Amino acid sequence: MTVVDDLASDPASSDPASSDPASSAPASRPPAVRTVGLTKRYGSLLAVNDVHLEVPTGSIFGLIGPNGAGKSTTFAMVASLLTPTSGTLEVMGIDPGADRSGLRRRMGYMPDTLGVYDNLRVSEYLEFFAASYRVPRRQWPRLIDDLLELVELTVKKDSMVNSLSRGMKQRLSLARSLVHDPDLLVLDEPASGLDPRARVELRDLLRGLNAMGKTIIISSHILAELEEVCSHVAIMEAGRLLASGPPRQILDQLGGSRTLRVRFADGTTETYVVASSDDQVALLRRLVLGEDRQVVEFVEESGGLEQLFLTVTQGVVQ
Amino acid sequence: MKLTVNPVLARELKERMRGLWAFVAMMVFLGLLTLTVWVVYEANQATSGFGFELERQTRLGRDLFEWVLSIMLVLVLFFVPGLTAGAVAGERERQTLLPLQITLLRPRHILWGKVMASLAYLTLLVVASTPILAVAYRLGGVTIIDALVGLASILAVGVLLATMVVGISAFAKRVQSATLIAYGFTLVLSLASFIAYGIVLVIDDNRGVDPTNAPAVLLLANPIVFLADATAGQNIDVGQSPLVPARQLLRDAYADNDGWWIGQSQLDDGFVVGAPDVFVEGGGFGGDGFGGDGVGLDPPVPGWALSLASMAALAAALFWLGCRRLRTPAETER
Repeated sequence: MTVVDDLASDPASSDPASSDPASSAPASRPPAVRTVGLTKRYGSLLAVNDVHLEVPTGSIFGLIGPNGAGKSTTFAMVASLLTPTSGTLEVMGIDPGADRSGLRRRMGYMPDTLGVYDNLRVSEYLEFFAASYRVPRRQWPRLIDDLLELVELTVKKDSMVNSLSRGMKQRLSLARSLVHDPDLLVLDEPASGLDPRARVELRDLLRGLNAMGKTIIISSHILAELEEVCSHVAIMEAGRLLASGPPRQILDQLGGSRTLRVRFADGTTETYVVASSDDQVALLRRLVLGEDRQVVEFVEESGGLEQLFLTVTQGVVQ
Repeated sequence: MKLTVNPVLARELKERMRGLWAFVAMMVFLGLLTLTVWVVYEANQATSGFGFELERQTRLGRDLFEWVLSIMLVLVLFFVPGLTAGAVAGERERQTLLPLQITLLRPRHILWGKVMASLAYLTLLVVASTPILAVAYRLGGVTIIDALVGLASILAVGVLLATMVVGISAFAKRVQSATLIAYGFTLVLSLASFIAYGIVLVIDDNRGVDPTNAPAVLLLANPIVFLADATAGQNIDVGQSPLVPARQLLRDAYADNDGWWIGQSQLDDGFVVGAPDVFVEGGGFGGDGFGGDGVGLDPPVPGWALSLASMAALAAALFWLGCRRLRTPAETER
């Protein structure tokens, strides 16, 4: 766990190098993304303010924050679309300003807007981007079949893009960002506008991609979605990074609480609120199971990330 | 060497030819040219007096040729901004620009693909209109070279204008505003040089004894002047086509100054020693005409070449600016 609100003003303590390493990331691998004092200013507006961040390689990293928090601007800088006003940025060991092509070969980017060419077929759309990424032509047929199978759009291969539903277009956009087999995926609000089924499918898809070894950075307003899928999160507000790390670790350090629900065989349900640490949950579990009553269910109420978000952010709008 | 097609060009052509608009535009283009031939033919038949049949027919052929080229130029000036104004603004509007910018394509590849797509469609229009020009060729007064030069000139204007408009399009956020700016720019390109020349001429006339004249070079960055000079064949002072006045204006401006800029002879002694030159067969300014010193005025560089070069320079500048606008990482884009 790294930065919490009141520590963020102290550069020494907010430096990722001085914080604990991300729990699930292999120690030997360099981070997929590393920012030091990353800042982006538009005139008088400070869109991103002195952000120190490390995204562990192989993680699913969620960037959360309210509208205007600076998430998309951060993503655009990571994706080599914007120049930082100050600070340093390294993506897959590459400086985006110095080697754009090298970075773009290794990174897939899905912006928060759903732009597709309506007058093309699904396969032609992917062919166009394969050509734009200079994927050899002989690889296209196999590549497109594989991608469409991955995003479950095989049956739509010859359909016109404008005939697809929003969820399908979203999946097609994801396939587009995978067309050159990148190591890093930067997905800006990929779940916005999707129905519940499509969200579940997207979540499964992200897990599958992560299992294939891809590092995924994702932003979303839907915190429950991120909680399900992210190994690490970072919380931004008004351009500042408020906290980052594994969600549980952040909660522990914040000293927050966890709500656990226990349902017994006699039909009664009891709710316990314990301190945020795993030790406390384990202790409660031992105590409950030690009773004579038969336990049917022992679950943690969801909303951990939501609780974390509400604890960390202050509702600042700039 | 392995040849690869610009992906933007391939996609643009695919999208464009799938739509109905491409065929409707072609029908309108060819329909208006056919109507021009009919109107000019009928007008000629009604007004032509007595004379040798062959001479009348030849003059009709030349008139038809120049009218068709003139209308073709007007249509190109009208169609190209409409076809290309949305090149980049359209990508922005439908939110496809970011995914495109993040690929390995450089801004110049993206813009060049757009220009080439316009050129390809324009070539289709021009090639489809050759049977209409063939009517003029059949009547006489036009050689194969004349016809080829005419068509090449139209294509040159089209591709240069498309390049300029694509550059402009990179700065617009909406197709509507890009289209308005593109048509405004085309209007300025077509008329500004005449207006500027006219203003300088009026100022010059009001200065009394000052021997300098409005420089002919002012007329050059203009597609109408370019077409008029590039297609100047035999008997260019006769006929009723709209290109004739443009040629006469260019010739007079050149003769007044003894050159494209301010004539050296005028600057030397303060008096105009040059005299009007003449056109000779084969086009352009003649060299063996009657001049004040008995020497004709043969431009070292033809007017059409200077005109083409000035438009190409403008197109290159706008294209470069467009590339800069699309360059990533961008300093500001919000």
